[in-house]
Amino acid sequence: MQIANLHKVFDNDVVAIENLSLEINPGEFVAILGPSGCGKSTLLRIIAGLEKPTGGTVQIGQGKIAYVFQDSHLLPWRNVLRNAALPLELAGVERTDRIAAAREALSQVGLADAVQRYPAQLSGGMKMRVSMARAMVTHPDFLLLDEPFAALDEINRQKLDEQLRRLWLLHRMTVIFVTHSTAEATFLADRAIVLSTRPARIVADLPIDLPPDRPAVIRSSPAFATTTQKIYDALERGGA
Amino acid sequence: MQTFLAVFWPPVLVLIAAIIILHIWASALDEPFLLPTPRAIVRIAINRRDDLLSALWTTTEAALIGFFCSAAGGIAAGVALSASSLVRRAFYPYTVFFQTVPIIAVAPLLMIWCGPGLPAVALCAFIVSVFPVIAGTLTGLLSTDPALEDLFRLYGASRWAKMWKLRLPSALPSIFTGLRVAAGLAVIGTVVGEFLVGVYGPREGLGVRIVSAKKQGRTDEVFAAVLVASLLGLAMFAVINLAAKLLLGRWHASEQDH
Repeated sequence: MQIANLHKVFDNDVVAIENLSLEINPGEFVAILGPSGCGKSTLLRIIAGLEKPTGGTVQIGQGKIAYVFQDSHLLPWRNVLRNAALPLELAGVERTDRIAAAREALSQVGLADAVQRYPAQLSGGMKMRVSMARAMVTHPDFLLLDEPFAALDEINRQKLDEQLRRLWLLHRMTVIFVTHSTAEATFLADRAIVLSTRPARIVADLPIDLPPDRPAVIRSSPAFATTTQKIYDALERGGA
Repeated sequence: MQTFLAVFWPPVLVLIAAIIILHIWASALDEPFLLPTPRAIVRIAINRRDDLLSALWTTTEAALIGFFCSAAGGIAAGVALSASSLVRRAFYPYTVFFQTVPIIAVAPLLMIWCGPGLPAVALCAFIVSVFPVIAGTLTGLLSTDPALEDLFRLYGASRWAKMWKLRLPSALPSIFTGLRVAAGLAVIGTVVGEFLVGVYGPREGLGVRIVSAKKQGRTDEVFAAVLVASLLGLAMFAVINLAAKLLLGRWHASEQDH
């Protein structure tokens, strides 16, 4: 994925992104960090094609995109199974096929037993899992996540981080994960891109040298602490 | 039965209290022409039950026709208005006409245009009750979760899929709010229409009964007919509530048990 000289100016003349260039390799897990309101969500929306850049280009070639929002945003009138099957339904996939695919995606996030429930009957963590299953159901080549677990409590958030990492090990799609948590970025990603305050430019592009398979205890290792600190320092340099 | 009592004791208590107060007041006043006692109203309602039931049936027919036209027309108009902001700016101000028009002044015109019959009465019911449906539908359609709109766009959903699978379902609670208001208004519009149109077809409606009872100085019968008309509005309201509960019960907060 190639992002070249990206500019984004909003209608109210606020410059969100200025001259940003970035290259992301297929199958890479990238975390994008930055202070609140720096334009990282805007960057993600432009990559997804939900917003048009004012200048510059985004080339992502062929591939399916999936997007996970800050909240689960499920359809409250559909049960878990039909929520997870929605992207395939919109793509015109046969009913039996899409139900089978939705069941598989749900079992990969540990919700095989909750398929008949409605969103109103689920906890915040479970809703977010359904949202992830809905994103994964098309087997996307690009998975874009915009601070997906920010509203959850610490324990749920860590569990979902672990789940997401496992999904990535299984499918090896390109992941771009927007967050403002240095620890979350370190645990999840193989590369951290730190943005400055608005207008967003790249302050640091840091590799994260941790093993691919990451158990929960890795969070208390010295290497984890050093990496988190490096990202933190970069955020400070960017004016956060 | 026990849950029924648990849910309904507050309104039942209010009803009983109101009947007692009305009874004491009317007995003390002792002017049946001004204010008949509740007992006198019930007695006349039982005595004239055949007339009242046939009037109720006539009124129900017109009210239902008016209401269904409002539901269908109002939802269709809401969908059309939601299509573009240009369409909305051009037409929405004129739909407010339905809300503000003094039906009592327009009804004679309807009689001239449609003749004194069922169409004129049903049209009265329609005019009075369509606006809340339009407003409810439009508000619901325009307040769809923007993230879900993005999601549908991301997966290349057609306009049709967006409307059927996203906008209309998420507008349903708001549409039902409009329909609830419209149900009561349709009965009011029908009774007003009957006031002006008078007898039509083989039977006469509740509005006609009210006018003729008043002319004969039968205040108790006026009250009885008004009571029956209110019960009709209440019954329509209850049916719509039930439909809302069946359709939205599992997911919408407004339909969950409080």
